[in-house]
Amino acid sequence: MMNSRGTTPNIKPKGVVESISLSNRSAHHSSPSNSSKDSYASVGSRSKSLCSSASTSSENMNPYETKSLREAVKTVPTSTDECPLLDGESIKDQEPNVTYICPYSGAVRGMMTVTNYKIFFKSVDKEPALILDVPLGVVSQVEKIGGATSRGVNAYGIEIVCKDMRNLRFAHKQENHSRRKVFDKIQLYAFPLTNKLPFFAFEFKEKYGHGEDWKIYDPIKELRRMGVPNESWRISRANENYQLCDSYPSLIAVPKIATDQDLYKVAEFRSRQRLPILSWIHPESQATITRSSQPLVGMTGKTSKDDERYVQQIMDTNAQSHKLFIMDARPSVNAVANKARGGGFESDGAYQIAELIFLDIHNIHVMRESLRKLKDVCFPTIDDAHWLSNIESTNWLNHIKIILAGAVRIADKVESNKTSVLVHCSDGWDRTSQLTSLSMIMLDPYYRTIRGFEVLIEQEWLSFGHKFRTRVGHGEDKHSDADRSPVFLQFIDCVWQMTQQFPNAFEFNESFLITILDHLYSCLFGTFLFNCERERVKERVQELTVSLWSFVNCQLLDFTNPLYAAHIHQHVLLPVASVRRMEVWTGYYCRWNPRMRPQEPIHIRNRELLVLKTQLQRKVEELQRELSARNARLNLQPSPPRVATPDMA
Amino acid sequence: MSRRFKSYIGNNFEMKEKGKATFQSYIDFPVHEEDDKESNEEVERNASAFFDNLHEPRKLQGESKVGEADKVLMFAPFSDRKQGIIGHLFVTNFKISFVPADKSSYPDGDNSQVILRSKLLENTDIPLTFVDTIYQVSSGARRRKLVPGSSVTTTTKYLEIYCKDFQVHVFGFRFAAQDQNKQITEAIAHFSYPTNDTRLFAREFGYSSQVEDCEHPVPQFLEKDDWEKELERLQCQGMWRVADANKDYEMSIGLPEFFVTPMNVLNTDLAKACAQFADKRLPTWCYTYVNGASLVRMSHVLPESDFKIYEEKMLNAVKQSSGNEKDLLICDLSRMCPSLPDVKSSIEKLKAIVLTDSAKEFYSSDARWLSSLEATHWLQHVAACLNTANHVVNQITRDSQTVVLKEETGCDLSCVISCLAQLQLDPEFRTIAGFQSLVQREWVIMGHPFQQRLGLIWTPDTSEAEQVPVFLLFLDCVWQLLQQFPSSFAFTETYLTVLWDTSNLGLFDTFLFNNCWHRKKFLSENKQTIATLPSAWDWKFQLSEEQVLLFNNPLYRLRTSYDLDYVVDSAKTALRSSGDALRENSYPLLLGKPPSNAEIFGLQEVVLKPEVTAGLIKFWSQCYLRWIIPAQIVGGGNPSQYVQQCILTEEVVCLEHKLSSLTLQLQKQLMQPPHQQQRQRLGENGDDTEMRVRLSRPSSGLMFGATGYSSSSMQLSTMYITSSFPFTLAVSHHTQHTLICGPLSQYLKDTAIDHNYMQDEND
Repeated sequence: MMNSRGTTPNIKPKGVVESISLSNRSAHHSSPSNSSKDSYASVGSRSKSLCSSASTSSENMNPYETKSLREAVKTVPTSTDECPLLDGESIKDQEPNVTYICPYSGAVRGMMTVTNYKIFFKSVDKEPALILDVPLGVVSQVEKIGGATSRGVNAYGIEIVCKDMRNLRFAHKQENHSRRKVFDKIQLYAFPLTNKLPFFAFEFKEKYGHGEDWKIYDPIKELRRMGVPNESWRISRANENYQLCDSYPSLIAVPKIATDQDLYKVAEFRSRQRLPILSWIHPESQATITRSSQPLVGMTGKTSKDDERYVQQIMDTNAQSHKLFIMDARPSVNAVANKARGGGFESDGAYQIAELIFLDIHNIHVMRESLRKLKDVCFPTIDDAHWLSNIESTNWLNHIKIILAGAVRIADKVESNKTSVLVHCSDGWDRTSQLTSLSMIMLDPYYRTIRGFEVLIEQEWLSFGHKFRTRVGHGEDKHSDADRSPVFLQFIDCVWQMTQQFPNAFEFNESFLITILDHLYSCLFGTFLFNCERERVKERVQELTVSLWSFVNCQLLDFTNPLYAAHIHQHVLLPVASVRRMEVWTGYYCRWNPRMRPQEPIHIRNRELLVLKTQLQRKVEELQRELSARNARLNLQPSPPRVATPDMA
Repeated sequence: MSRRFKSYIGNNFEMKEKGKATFQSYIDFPVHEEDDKESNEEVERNASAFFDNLHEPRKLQGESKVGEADKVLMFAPFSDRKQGIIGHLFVTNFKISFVPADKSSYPDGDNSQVILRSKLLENTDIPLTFVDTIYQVSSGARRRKLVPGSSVTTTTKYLEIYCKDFQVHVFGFRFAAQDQNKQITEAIAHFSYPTNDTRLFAREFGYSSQVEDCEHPVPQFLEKDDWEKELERLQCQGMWRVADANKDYEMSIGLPEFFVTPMNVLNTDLAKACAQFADKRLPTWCYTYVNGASLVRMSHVLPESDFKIYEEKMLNAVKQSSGNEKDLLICDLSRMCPSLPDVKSSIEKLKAIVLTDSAKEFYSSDARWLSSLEATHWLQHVAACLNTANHVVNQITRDSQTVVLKEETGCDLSCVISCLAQLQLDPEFRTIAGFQSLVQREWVIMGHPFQQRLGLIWTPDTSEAEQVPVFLLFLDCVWQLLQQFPSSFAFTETYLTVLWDTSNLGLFDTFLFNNCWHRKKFLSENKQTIATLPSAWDWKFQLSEEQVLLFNNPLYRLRTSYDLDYVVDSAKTALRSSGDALRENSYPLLLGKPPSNAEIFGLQEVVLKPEVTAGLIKFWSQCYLRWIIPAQIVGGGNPSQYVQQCILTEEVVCLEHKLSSLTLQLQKQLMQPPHQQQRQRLGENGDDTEMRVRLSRPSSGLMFGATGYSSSSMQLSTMYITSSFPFTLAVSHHTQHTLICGPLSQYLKDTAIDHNYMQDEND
């Protein structure tokens, strides 16, 4: 059954890729086998409990792992035939006698539960129990496999295609009539938007920490951190009610000299009114990174004096340089092609102070296709003989490399040339977000902390209008929607590549990144829901849902990189954008495959080192306290006056 | 050893900053193929201005100059031959040595000790034994390989030297005098390929240096005694015995004088049997596991042999010595492992994709890197070896079956598999001393033909095919184990890389010969003069103490030598209680808590079983990419992880010490009656100091640790470690100071070690 991957034809019409390949790939299922043996498991395993699952997969588990798994299972405060529930979660259907066909440990019989948040499966005849815990948010597509007349073992059931690099396959017994109910419930609750239901995030009532974490990003505070407003930049409220640009935040930073009226004129000349606004400013040179969408040049080669003046004003805010780089994320052919649709790029003639550079990053469709191929290569098992060339043929690493290389160029211009850079692509919410946020991580150590990284995502992605709902397809059953694309996943992959190249420069660890990705899909938290600030305000996300950062920030220890050495890395980090120094993120893309996990993960060792140190420190302090307490007592005892010592004072 | 623990590449970094000629000696000029002759006079004038104070290269005992050229350009790597440094190129019978004309390019000016990459080599030295291939580019961009023995007819414009340590050196001769041009090219070509071992520099070195009976930190296995101790350690003396049948190599020149055979085989049987085996390598013992199952190696029986009966007899004897009735498992390595030609073609392909001096080539080939790497089959060969070793280990541990490794030559892949299996089975071999004794026994003594395989001697016809880096394949396999079990080995990847370079240096007793007989012959032919050559295992011979510290793995140190028990308990509690705090949130946070009873540094199983899936077999960047500047991560890479682990370990050691001294103080107080205590407390501070002195902190044995603290005065604050540390320079963005090993204190700004406390100790 496993061989179908290799034979999956390359399906031409993009729109139907997933559905066709689904039937072709019906043999792959995923088994989320996670074992808490590594840190993201431990940390992550927590998130897995939410978002993925804790399941055992029999092969290849060392005793240590098995033990910890059992441990983990034991802590679930429920009886065997129940599934643990979140606050706000309720069981919608429960079927005994379902078989989960695990691609690693084979068919397992057990109880399947569908709630309004997840699919929960627990095996009955396996010790330790295999547990699957899959949030419905990751479901991309559900399909029935086999009909009433299907013969053969496990030929009748459902297949679930997931957004997190796995497929799940369950077999039902025809005579039980269990399949239909399960199928209907999953259809209903996995796609709330389609079914006009609220996202589970709006029903989830858990409290974490102080619940203040919607406030973690305060645009005013962030701008102040960078010294804005200052003599050349101001904060504009022109978009207070999203009237200037509906996908921008209400507060934007713009050159001081530009009036709000100017902003409107400039916005007219930019696709979707996404005029250039400030992302980051260099604390010393005042060189800036600004971002926008493409200018509306069109076939006729329109120009806008207002836009040209505005770009000039951006350059003028930086006294160090008489030049401005415009980094167009696209390949130049694409930029030219966009003219036909009214877009385009800044012409040399009109923007004489600017130098335009194309960064050759491909569009969302190319990236989606690349990820699809990557999933074929990584799931469920890999082909050992052709692993590297298969990876290469997906082009995924190459795309990642090109994005990183683009960000390096931006960071280098800003840092070494002290030149300001304006970044845009077509609409300025996909590739642009990748580039600005990555170059900001390279330039500013703040964004390499946990809190800083959360702020970065809030600012460059959420508030500046990356269309999460559309790109991820939250709550919609349109699995072949051409607007879906792994843009944010690529960004996180780039960050992971950087953490690999600089093991002690980041405060967060791998499980932090995986947790973010898990909840990108889970719809448990309000953070990634909807497309822009305007929509989130309208839906009262902050009042009605929990922030992912609340969840993360109440367990920081688990997300901390034990090797983080803040004092060494106060400078610019320039990663090597070469495939020779990059790796496929197997900890994410191949995480369901137990064979792909190291037996003694080094991050676990590092973490133990830190725990050990902390522990010793505590002991030393205890003893010191005890000693000084004793000494104090001694000194208080009556004694001849002459012996008063100076340190008594 | 080859290692540029500091190298000149710091200079290169400067060169990289285009046009900013910080160093006067960097000559920045555009190269126009055509106007070779009309060389820029100004440049020439500038260049010659530096020749007043010529430095001679430092020479070893027995080393003599055989050629030189003036005004040679050493190009900055990856500068597309547009930038370089001018100087004097020397060729000796040991190395090619470039001496920069401008003294200011020495890190510490004129007479200070230039920081050496090792005690034997300076940063701009290329040992002749490292030279793999030489390309001569003559005018008109004609490029040809200088094969040994070929005569040099054309004028050399560039000389490209490809080395076994995966580095490419390029020299330019446009300013060099015509007569020197030809002479030096010939000298390099000639002396890089000695045709027999009397021409090896090691001979001269042995003649003239007084290597005092050098220390042997590991058993040599040249004497019966060493073998017997090993049998004793493994408690198998009853089954196996040390045979002296090969005294004076009468029986076999491939085998050592002493080796281990089944108990009940007589010397006379051995003598009869050995004739039937290729190279006379009859079944010899390698290892016996605790369950009595053993590992044995042998070569193929000669095809023309009519006496297969001796093979049977020998194997029967092996079976009798294996302590159980199970059949032997015969592993035919020629079927399970890559063949020598496979390895040969693989390493050639690997070199082709790794070795480059052109940034353009580097970037243009990047998109195809993964498939090119796969096409070398190097990683697949590594995986195959690990897989075979896994199989052997499984049979021995699970089925108590004695395994016989059978290989055509009996001295190549057998060494790899036998060592891997022993590393996986026995933690002893994962220490540095243990690993060295393993390599000494299974490779050096059992007669892996290092001289041939490393290509130390060049002989027409045979050399090309015989030169196969089997040892590198082995080191790569060990590196994979180290990756997969990071706290199980006492050594680091740096140790392995240095070991590879050391094996190529052609100076050490250890890696110079094809077998014991060969060694004895070499040494005795020169009896009057050569007593001994240095052993590679005597690291202090070539490295400073600080450099040797880089071999120590901090994770291993903590796991093995630190008494964790009493902290582990509380650490467990700490982990558990952090779970408790979250318990109120019930399910969402619970499932997947870190395993609360997980042991800190819990030992995984004693027997290591690496995964061989392609996804976990990695490319050994440190070894292969260390000189590839565009691939260098400034401020990152594995070394930065290593440094941080060392620091954490250092802190743990420090805290542990502090804890015990505090405990002692407390106990002392408790034992004394209050009055006395009080008296003591008041007045005498001396007592306190005394205690501190007594409890001086134990050394962690790590780089960046307390031992390196006083000896090094270098500044670390602005330095960056690169992914190539310690082989190329750490480069700072702010200064040209390029330092590597510095005092711990520089690193400890935000860490737990109490500075006062450390000062106290030093007082």
